[in-house]
Amino acid sequence: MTEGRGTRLRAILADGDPARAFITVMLAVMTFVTSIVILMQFDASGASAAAERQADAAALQRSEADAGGAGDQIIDYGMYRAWYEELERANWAYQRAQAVGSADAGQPLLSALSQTDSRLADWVRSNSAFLQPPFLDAQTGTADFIGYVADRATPSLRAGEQFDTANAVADQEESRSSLFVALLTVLAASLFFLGLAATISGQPRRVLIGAGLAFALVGTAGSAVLAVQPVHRVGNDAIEAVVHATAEVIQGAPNGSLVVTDAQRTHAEAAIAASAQAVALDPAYPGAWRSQGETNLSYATALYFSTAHPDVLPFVNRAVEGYRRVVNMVQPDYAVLWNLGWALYVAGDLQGSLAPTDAALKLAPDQFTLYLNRALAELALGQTDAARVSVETGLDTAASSGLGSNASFFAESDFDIGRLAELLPDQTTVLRQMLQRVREAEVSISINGQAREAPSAGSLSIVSISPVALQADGSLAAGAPVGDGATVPTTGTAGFRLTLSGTGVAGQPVAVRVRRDGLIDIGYSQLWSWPGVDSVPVDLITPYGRANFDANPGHYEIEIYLDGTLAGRFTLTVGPATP
Amino acid sequence: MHLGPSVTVESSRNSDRLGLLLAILLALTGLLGALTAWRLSEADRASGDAARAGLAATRERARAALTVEAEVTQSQSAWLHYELAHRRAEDLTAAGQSVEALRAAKEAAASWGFIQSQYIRPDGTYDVAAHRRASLAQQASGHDLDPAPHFAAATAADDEKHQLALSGILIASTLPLLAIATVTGGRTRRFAAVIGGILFVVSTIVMVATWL
Repeated sequence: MTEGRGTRLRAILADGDPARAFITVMLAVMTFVTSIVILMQFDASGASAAAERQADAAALQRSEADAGGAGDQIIDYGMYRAWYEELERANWAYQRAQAVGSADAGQPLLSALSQTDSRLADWVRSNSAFLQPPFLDAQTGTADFIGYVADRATPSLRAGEQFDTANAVADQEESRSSLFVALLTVLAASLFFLGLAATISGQPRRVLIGAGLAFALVGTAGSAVLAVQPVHRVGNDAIEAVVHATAEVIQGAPNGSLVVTDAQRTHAEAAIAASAQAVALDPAYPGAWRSQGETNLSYATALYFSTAHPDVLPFVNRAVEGYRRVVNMVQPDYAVLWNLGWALYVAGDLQGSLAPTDAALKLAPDQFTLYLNRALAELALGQTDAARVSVETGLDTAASSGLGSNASFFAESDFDIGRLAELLPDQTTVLRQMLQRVREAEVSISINGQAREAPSAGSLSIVSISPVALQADGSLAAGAPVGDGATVPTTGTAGFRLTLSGTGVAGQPVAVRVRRDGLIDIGYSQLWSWPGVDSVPVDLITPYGRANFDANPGHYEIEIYLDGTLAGRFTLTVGPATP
Repeated sequence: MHLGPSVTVESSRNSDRLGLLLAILLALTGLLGALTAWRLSEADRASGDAARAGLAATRERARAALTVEAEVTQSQSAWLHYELAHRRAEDLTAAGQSVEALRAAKEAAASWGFIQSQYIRPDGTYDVAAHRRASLAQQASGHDLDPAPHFAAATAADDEKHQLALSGILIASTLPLLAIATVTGGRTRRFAAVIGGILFVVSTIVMVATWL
């Protein structure tokens, strides 16, 4: 059979040398294959560039949406302030007009002012998109700021997702292009071996033909496999679902609140449903899994810290699954790792939470909250000393990064640690110590930019606290002093008057911080130097109190710091308004 | 059964002519391939240039958008203050409170210089969209702010690359056939030569069509 086939082959060959003919044909075939691979590499490179252009266009859209949205927000909030101001002016003028009576010479002016301000309030309202439904409740006159923010953020969120997905396509095409280049190198080697084989004979020729064929096989098969592998492109429906989920999350996840309202619950559930829809539409879309993580974790965190404190494990588990999918699919950013670490902590996987938290810290070593998260896990694992080191490292980082100068930046961590101290009885003592360190560091940073102060030689104490009321002449009248833990009515309480006593503290910085329901109220914050006296009255009153609004109901913690160290604490409750 | 001398010579001459034709076709295929590669690189360069120009315009537009937004916001904010004070003055004047009205009018005057008043509509409201459009157009008069034409040019160049790639594949596919025709004889050679020749003609037509 072999002899017969060889004879027939020789018969159709021009020079009767089958090996040479074979090499010639293989050279031609491999040149053909190489040409195709070159063109596929060109195609992948071009597709990558096209996807990058789409990403650029989306980035521009996002910039424009952000700039326009910020401009709109400045104006709309300005309109809101003007509307509020005119309403207050009208109200004041009306009440004054009623108080002085028609016999008073100033009454016509007050009436005119009241009517003018009222008309201006109406005019402002009619000219602002923010002061219309659905953002303004016409019955109560309250504005939905968070709903407005979510609405204005939507175009930017959409452009952001489009940017991410286009970038992902560009990455895939770029990767394909690089692999084609590698395979072309293999094919070039194949051509070289076959070409060389044509010039020699005998055993070396057979070896070179074998090597050439092996390289040709690898190059061709690899190129074929790469050519049929699809590039994943995310559909618009999945993108829209993620955008919807994020917009709902903005409205549905209160940070630093003891209560999750029904409206917030509705938004949070809508967010979770939208992210689930995104996952169902495209399970290969990392943004959908990230959205599953975000929607479930934000809701779980809000519920976990609420006074209701229900079981949040189902939400947390879904969040962990979402973030883990993202980590497995793409190179995650620090926010994903941060949230994965937090989700695992809430889920009770304390050891497991350390790895992603540390990985996030490697990417973002200036994020002091990450150090606190690590400290919380270490503390729960019984590593108290390590936890204290993590807290101090985090506070030093906050001071050096400049973030610590923003008191509200500390507020959420402060609230979370305070709630954990209540929710985790076996860790309460250390958590309260951590909380005090965070608070002292915040004060210290505001004084000298450092996370700690040298202890003061003097002493400072709170002598008494009285509620104060605004008098008709604008002065503040203090009521009777109240004891620690007392309850005062909100009606008629515009603020508080502290009497402080100090020894050896002249010229030293004194700071006051007030927290209501665990969250700092910056309107009460003060920082001043102790005068050369023994006793100082301090009026704690916000701009609302000075405008004769009653203090908000809630549980108040009033703290005095001397040189960045806690010197005294007083708690009281402001009760609900008198009917 | 031996062939006569004239037949053998004729067959040999035909074979030489086909061999020469195949060699010429192979050379032309190489030339066509080189031309295609050159056009591909040209299209690739055009695509890259257009994409870079589009990216530059994108950056410039993002910068312009911030500038425009700051200008619009400033003017609209001044308009709000002006309009409130102005309306207060008119209202109080109508109510006979001329002293307070004058105070409000003076407040209105303080804001007036900061308003681009051409964007105040006849009903007194502010036309934000018109102000944005006009300011962006003004910015565009000195800078390239539109990435769309550049990106469209890049896409067109990419389309040309795709078509050239198709003709390149056709050109490359003639190589194995012409090679087989070169190393074989008889019907196999003629068959391969005919198919290779047809492919060569088709690929030449496709390439010329793409070029034009």
